[in-house]
Amino acid sequence: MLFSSLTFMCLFLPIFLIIYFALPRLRNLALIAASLAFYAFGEPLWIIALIFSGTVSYIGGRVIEQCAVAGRKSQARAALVVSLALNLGLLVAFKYSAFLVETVNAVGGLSLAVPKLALPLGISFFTFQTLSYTLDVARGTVKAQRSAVKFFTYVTMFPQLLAGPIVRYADIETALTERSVTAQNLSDGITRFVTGLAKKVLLANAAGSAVTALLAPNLRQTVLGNWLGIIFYSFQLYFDFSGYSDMALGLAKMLGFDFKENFNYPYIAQSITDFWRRWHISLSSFFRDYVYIPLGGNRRHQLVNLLVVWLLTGLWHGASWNFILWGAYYGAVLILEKFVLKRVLDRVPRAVRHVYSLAVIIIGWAIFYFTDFAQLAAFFKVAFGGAPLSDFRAISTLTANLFLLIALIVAATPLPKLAAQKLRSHAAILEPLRNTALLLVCFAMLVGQSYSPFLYFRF
Amino acid sequence: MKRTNIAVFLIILAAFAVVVTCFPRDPRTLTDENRSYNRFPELTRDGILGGTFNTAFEAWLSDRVGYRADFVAASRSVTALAGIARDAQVRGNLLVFPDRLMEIFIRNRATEAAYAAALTAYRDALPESVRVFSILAPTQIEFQPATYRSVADSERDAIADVYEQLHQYGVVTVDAYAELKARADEYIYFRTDHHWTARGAYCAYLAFAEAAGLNPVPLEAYAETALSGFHGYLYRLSPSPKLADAPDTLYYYANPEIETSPPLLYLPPEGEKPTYQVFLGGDRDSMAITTNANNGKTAVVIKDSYANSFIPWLAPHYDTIVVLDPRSFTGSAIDEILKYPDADVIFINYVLSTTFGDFIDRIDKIR
Repeated sequence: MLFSSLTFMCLFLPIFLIIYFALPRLRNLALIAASLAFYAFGEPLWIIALIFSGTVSYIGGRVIEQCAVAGRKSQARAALVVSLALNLGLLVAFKYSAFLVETVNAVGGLSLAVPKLALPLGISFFTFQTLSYTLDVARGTVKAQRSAVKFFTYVTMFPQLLAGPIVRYADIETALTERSVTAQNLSDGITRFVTGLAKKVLLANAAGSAVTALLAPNLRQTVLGNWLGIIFYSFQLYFDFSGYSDMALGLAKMLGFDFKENFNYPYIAQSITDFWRRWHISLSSFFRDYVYIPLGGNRRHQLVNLLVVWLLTGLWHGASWNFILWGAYYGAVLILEKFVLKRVLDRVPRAVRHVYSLAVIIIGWAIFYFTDFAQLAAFFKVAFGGAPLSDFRAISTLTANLFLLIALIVAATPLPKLAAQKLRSHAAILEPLRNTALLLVCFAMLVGQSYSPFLYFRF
Repeated sequence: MKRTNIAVFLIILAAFAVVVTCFPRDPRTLTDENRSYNRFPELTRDGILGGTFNTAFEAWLSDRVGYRADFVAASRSVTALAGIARDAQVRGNLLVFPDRLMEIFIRNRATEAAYAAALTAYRDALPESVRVFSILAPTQIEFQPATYRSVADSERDAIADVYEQLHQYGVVTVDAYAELKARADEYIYFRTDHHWTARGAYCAYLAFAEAAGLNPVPLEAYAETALSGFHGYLYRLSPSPKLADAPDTLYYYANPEIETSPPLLYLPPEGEKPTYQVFLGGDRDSMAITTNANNGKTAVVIKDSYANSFIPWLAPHYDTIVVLDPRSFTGSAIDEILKYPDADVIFINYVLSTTFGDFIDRIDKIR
C-alpha cells in the first residue's frame, strides 16, 4: 500500500489512528498488526520474507549477545556470520539471483534457467535494517532486544517499511519501550506528513508526466528535449523519494518515534561529496559505518574502499548493469574530487561549484534512468548535439510546465521552509490552513489519477 | 494552534473516509469514462497472491468516491496550473489543440518491414487471378503546419517505403495519401477521434477505384445525414471542457439504390449520441456482406477500424464483401479468399498499424 493512495488516506490511516490511540497499553502490538496488514495488502505471499528476516535477526541478536557475555567469542562470531548470511542470502536470492544467472549465462555462453522471483516490497530496506541491528549487537554498541514484540515493532514499522529511511535500532531503542505522543509531536508529524504527500502527489507526479512527455521510448529526440527530460526526472526522483521520507518521518512522529533526517536539500550541494551527505543519508551512512570504515576507511587502501562502497551502492539500487555503472561513476567522481578537484573547487566561486555539482548529478540520473545501454548511448548522443536543437514537443512541454519547473526549483531549496517558519511565527493559523488546502488538492489529484476511460474504441 | 492543526487533520481524514464510503457513487463515471463501475475484487487465491488484489481494491475504492467527476475535473484544473497553455501541446503520444486531438506517428522500421512481409506472404500464397491491394491511410497530423508536424515522423515517407517493398512483390498499392492531401482542408478527419470521417474514407475510395479500375460513384449520388454530439476515442484519452462543448459531427452517406445484407450503417437509438460504431456496427471478427451490385465480384477486406467507414463505399462494386479483422478473427484468411477464385483482397489500415507488432503478427497468424 502506498501512502499516496486513497486506500491509505481514507481507510487505513484513520482506522489505524483510532486503534492506536484507543489502546495506549497495546501500541506496539497495534503497530505490528497494522504494519503486517499494510505489508500484506501489497505483498501477501512474501510477508514470509519479512517475518523470516525479523526472526533470524531477533534470534541472532540474542545468541550473539549471550555468547559474547559468556566469553565464547568464536561462537558469537559464528552466530553473526549465520545471521548475516541468512539476511544477505535472502536479499541476494530475491533481488540478484536472476541478474547473476543472466550474467553467468552471458559470460559463459550458458543457458541456465533464470529464476523468476518477484521482488518482495521493501526488501532492500528491511534487510538493511536487520543487518545494521545484528552488526550493532555484535559490536556491542546496542543491547540485543529481549522482547520479540518490541523487536518486531522495529522491523515491521509501516512508516519506513517500504521505502525507508533505513532506521538504526539505536535511534528508536528507547521509544520502543517508552514513548509519549505530545500534541506538539502530533501536530509537527501531521504537517510533515502533509508536506511529504504534497511533494509526492503535486510535484513528483507532475514532474513525472513531463518526463514521460520527453523521454518515453520511440519519440523524436532533440537536444533541449533530452536535457529538459532528465532535469524533470531529477526533480521527480528527489520529490518522490524525499516526499516518501517526509511522510515516513511525519507518521513516525505522530506515533511517538523520531527518525533521523534522510534528505537535506541535496540539490543545493557544493560538491558531489557534499551531495552524498545530503541525499538518502540513511543509506550512505549505512555504507560508511558498515562497509567503508570496517574496510579501513581513509587509513588503509582508501581507493579500493571507495570503489567497493560505490559499486555496492549502485548495486543496491537495482540488479542491473546501469546501476553498477551509476555507482562506479560516483565512485570515480568522488575519488577525483578527493585527490584532484578539491583544491580547484575550494578556489572557485560558489555558483561554479553548484553548477558543477548539478551537472554531475543530472548526468548521473541519466545513467540511472536508462536500464538499456543502447538507449542510454542514444540519449547522450542526442543530448550532446547529435540531433536538432529543439522541436515543438520540447518547447511546448517546457511552456506547459514552466510554473511547475519554477516551483520545483524553489521547493528544492530551503526557501519554502524558511518562509513558512517566518509566516507561522506571525500567524499560526496558516499551518492548519496550508495543511487543509494541500490535503484537499492531493485528494482531488488522487481521485483524478484514477480516471481510466475504457479504451475499446482504440480501433 | 497545535490542537487546531491536529483537529483539522483528523476532521479531513474522517471526511475523506465518509466521501469514499457513505456517498452514492457518481454516475458520471459511467458516461465520462464509458465503462461500468470497478467491482469489489474477488478474494481468489491467485488474485491475492499475485498482488492484483490491492490495485483492484484501489480502483474499486476510487469509483466509490462521491462527486468523483468533480474531483477529477478539479484535478485537471490543478494540472493546468503547471504552465502556460499554448495553441497546442504534446501530451504523451497526442498532439493536443484546444479544439482537436491527434495521434503522433513515430516510425518503426522493423515493424514496417514485418508489415510488408506479412502482406507479401498473402500475395505469394494466392493465385494470379486474385488481386491484392494495400491501402495505408495517413492521419491528420501529417497535414498540419510544419511546426506541429515536427513532433512526428513523416507518414508520407513511411507509406512510400512500405509501398516500395509491397510493389516489388506484386501487391497493388493505393495512393490514398494524395487524394487526402488534396482535400486536407475539408472535414476528412474527426477532431476528437483518431479515425477519418466517411468523407475521408471516400478520398481513399477514389484512389482505390483508380487502382482497381472501377468507376467511382460520385458523392452527390448519396444523401448526407449529420449526427451531432460525437466524442471519439482521443477525447476520452484527453478530455477538456472546451472539447466537451465542441463535439464532432458524424456524417454518414446513404444511397437508396444500394441494398445490402447485413446493413452497413447502424444508427444510435433515439436520444443517444453517435459513436464510430455507426459504420458496420463496430469491429467484428468476420462479416460477409451481400449487395445488389449483381456483377459476380467479391472483395475480401483485411483491416483495422479505418475500414469500417470505407467499406460502405465498396458496396456498388462487389456482390460480396468479406470482412476479416485480424485482431479477433481466428480462422484461415487464405481459405476464405480461395472460396472466390478472382476476388480482390484489400488490406486497409491506418499508418500507425505499421508500428503495432501485435497487430502485424495477427495478420500473419490468420493467413
